[in-house]
Amino acid sequence: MSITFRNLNEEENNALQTELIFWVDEEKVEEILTDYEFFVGEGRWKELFITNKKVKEMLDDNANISPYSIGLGFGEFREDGFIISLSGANFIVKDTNRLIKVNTKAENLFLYRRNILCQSITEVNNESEIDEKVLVVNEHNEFLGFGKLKISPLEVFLEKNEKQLAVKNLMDLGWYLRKGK
Amino acid sequence: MPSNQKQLAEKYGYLPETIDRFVKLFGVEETEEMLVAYEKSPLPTIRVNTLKISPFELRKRLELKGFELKPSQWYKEGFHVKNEPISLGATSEYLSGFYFIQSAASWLPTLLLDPKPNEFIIDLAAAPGGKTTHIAQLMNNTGVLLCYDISRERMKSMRSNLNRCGVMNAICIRSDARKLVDLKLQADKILLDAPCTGEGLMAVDPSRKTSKNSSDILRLQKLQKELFEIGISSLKKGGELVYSTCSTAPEENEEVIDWALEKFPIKLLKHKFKEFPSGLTKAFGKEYSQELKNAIRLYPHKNETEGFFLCKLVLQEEN
Repeated sequence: MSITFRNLNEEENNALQTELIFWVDEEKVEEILTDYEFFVGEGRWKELFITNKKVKEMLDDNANISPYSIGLGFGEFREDGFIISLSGANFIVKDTNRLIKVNTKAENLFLYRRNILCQSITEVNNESEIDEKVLVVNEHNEFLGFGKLKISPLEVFLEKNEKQLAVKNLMDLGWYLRKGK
Repeated sequence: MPSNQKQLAEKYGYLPETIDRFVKLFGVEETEEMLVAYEKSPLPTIRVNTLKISPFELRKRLELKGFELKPSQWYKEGFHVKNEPISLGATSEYLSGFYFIQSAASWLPTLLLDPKPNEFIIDLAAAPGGKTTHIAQLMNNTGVLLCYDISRERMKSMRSNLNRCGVMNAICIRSDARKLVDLKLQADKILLDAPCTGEGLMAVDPSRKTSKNSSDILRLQKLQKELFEIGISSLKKGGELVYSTCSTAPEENEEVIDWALEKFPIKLLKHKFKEFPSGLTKAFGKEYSQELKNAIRLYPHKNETEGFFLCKLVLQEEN
């Protein structure tokens, strides 16, 4: 199926901002929206692509170009809103508080779709709540994937909980090996 | 065919006609040196993605995990991997896009192209994206990188690689690159890593020893010339094009460039990689332009890489 590219409409722009504001503050949202250009690609899925201003100029000046993809996949529009992608998460990882930091052993397991136990967590931000999405990062603060918090951050480091499930794996960078080839 | 050539073909599993061609080009002794070298897989090599990490930091990280890296002698962002405790494609550093697993020979076309920030560059046969991600990193994700490939599967891999490596300045087009001419674009630089017989890839793909013959070489030469002509038509005056193949067959390399030098107002440019062998100025009784001394050839027995050819040319301003 061919992909048709166009600019964001108002509804999509709102959905994008709703997702971004969940992760980062308004200043960062403004910075992302100002510094980069976005295209919606509609095919089997409705995806959002992020790119630079020169690419936007080139496509505006050459309407006969029919791309397969533009820039970086930033996320996907679904019925319930916009979801940021693995590559899109790199734009927010340095600016979000919704992080779970894990040790090296858990990093390797998480990249193979495994969930995270409390004993593997080295840092957690107290702002996140149970069942909210978090970014999982390694000891270098590098993004590893998305998870869903399954325990209150206040209880993560209690000794009695060390074998408890802390984060359910939603999607991890291992996707590039499993599906991306 | 002399019996020693038949023996070489049998011993190393090649088509006799391929050995005959090698011997005519290189002589018996050097041919056997090359065949021996093709029996040995080169060390895996990686290129650091400087959009995401420095060579120093990546080396430190991988060595802590037990990898043994040897810096390339001619490219400071490339490493040979001497010890691989786990698969190079399964580390968190790989998944984070910190490096690309890519043969050392494949670094050269991009280095010769010398991409600069804010340029408009076209990659004519781009997927799965090794050279494309390299170009994007040297452009520092600025400007525009227009990438063509016709294969759906390869384009899917390419998108995944571009996303993994954080490439933002690429427009990918899944189409026959020969349609580029319809867009009437004028690029600053073009990379034509042309489809070829892969005659230099025997160490990594032994099936190539027998899968391609001289009729394939001539069929691909026709396509290479067509793509070259498309590339020139989409290059601005003063713009530069790098032509490369992973083949050592002169018909796919020097003969294509010799034809192009006759047909277009182009000039082969000198390069800084003096450690590598030059292009041929004669082969199989044919003489080629002396400018082909400015081309580069790589051989497994001389350079510890796959067999490769590349050159850079400029489209001259009209008088």
